[in-house]
Amino acid sequence: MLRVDSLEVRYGRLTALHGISFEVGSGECVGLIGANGAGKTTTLSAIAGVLTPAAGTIELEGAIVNREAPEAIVRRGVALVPEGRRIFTTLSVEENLRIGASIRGDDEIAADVERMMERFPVLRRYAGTHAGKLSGGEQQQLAIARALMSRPRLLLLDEPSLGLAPLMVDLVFDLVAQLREEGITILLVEQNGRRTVELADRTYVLASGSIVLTATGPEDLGEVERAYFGGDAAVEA
Amino acid sequence: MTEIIQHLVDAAGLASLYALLALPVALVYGIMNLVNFAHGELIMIGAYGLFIFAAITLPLAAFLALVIVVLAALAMERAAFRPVRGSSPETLLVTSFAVSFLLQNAALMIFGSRPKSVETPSLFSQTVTIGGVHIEGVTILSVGLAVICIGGLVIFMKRTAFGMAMRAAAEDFTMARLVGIRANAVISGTFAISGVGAGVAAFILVVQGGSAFATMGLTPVIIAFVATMMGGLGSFSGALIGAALLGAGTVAFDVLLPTQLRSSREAFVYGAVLVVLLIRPQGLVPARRERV
Repeated sequence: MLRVDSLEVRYGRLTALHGISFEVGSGECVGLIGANGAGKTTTLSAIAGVLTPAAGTIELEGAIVNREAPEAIVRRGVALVPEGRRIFTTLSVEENLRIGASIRGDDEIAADVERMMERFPVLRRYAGTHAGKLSGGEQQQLAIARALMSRPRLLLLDEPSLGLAPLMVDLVFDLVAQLREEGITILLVEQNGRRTVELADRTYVLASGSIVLTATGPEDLGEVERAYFGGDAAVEA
Repeated sequence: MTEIIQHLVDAAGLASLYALLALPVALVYGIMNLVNFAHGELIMIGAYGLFIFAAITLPLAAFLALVIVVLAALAMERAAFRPVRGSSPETLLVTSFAVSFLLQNAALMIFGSRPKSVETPSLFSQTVTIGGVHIEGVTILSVGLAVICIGGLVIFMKRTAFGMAMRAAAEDFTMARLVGIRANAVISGTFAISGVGAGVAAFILVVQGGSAFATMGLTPVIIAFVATMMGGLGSFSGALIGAALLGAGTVAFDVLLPTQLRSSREAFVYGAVLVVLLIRPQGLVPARRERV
C-alpha cells in the first residue's frame, strides 16, 4: 500500500528526516512512535503531500507521489487526521463531515453522514453547532469521522490521543482497532508507545529523524522503552 | 427627526458602496493572505468597459463590463499571483502593487490621462423625496446592489458546496487541501467573485462620477483596505462592519464638523480609524483561524 524509501525531509538547512524507510502493507496497522521532534509529524506531512521530500521516494500502491499536492494524495485514497485535529471551527459539525467527502461525487454522501452520526452519537447531538464549540475529545471524533468521509484506504493518524482524558484515549484506541477490523490500512503516529505497540502489527521507533527500532509485539516493549527514553545509548545497544 | 433620517439614508448609501468595495478585498485576503491593492484596477477596468460599451443599451453594457472584470480578475490571479502563492505577505503585497501600477499605466497608454465621460441614464441623478427626506437615485442604486450582492454572497457561502469550501479554505487553507479541496479552484473562484464585486462597484462609481479614468481605483481600494483592516482582515462580517462604520463615520463628521473644517473631513475619519486600530489592533471582528 505505502512504501517509504530513504525519505529525507529538510526545513531550510535543518534535516528533519535522515533517509527513513518503512512499509505499510494493505490492511495492516503500523505504528510510528517517538519523542517530540523525532520527525513523526514530518513523516506524515510528507506522505500527505504537505511537505516535499528532499530525497528518497514515497510510493502509494506502486506510484511515486513525491511531488503530488495534498488534494491529489487524498484522491489516491489517503486521509490524514492531523495533529491538533484542525477541524473547521467556523463550519458546523455536519458541514465538517460533508467537507470530508469533497473528493466524492457519488450520491451516498448523505447516507455516510448518517452512518458517522450513528457511529459517533455526539456528532448527531451537535450536528448544527459550530464545530469550535466541541470539547477536545469530541473534536477528535469529528476529525476522524471527517477523514473517514472520503472513504480512505489508508488512514494517517497523527497523535489522536494527545491531550485527551484517559477515557477518551481508550475510546480512540478502541476506534483504531475497529477501523483496522473493517479493513482500513492505518499508519498511527503516537507518543503513547505502549498502547501503540500493543495494537499495531508493527511499530517503528523514530529518534532524531531516523528509525532506530522496529517492534513487532508487546514482547519488544522493553527494548522500545530503552530506545524511547535512552536516546543514543539505546540506539547503540 | 427628518434630518436624522436624512443622515442615516446618506450613511446607508455610502456604507453600501464601501461594503461592495471591502468584501472582495476581505475574501481574497481570507483565502490567500493577500491584500490585493490591484483590486482598484479591476474597478478601473470595469469603468472603461462601461465606457467602451456605453453606445449599446446600459444593461447589456453593464453585463459585458462585468464579464470583462471577472475575466481580468481570473487573468490577474493566474498570471501574477499564482506564481508567488505561498510566499510571504510582503512579497504578495509588492506583487499587488506591481500589478496595480502596470494596469494603471497600461490604461494611461490606451485611453490617455483625461477622464472618459460615460453617459448614464438620468434616472440615477434624480432625487426622490419621501416625507421630507431626499433620496438620490445613486443611493437607491448602491443600497439595492449591495443588498442583492451581499445577500447573494451569503446564500452562496452558506448553501453551496463551493461556498463551504471557501469558508473552510479561509479558516485553514492547508487542511482544506488535505480534505481534497482543490487550491486552484477555490482561489480562482474567489478572484472571480472579487471581480463581480469590482464590476458592480465600478458601475456605481461611474454613475456617481460620470467618467472612467486610469487612477480611479486608488481611493476605492484605500477605502476597502481601511474598512477590512478596521473590521479585522480576512473576516467577512468584519469587512461589513468596517464598511458600515466608515460610511457612518464619514457622514457623521460631515454633519458634526464646523464648516471651515469640513474640507479636511477625511483627516478626521482616518484619525478615528487610527484610534480604533490602536484600541483593537486585530480589528473589531478578528478572523478565526487555526494556524498549526
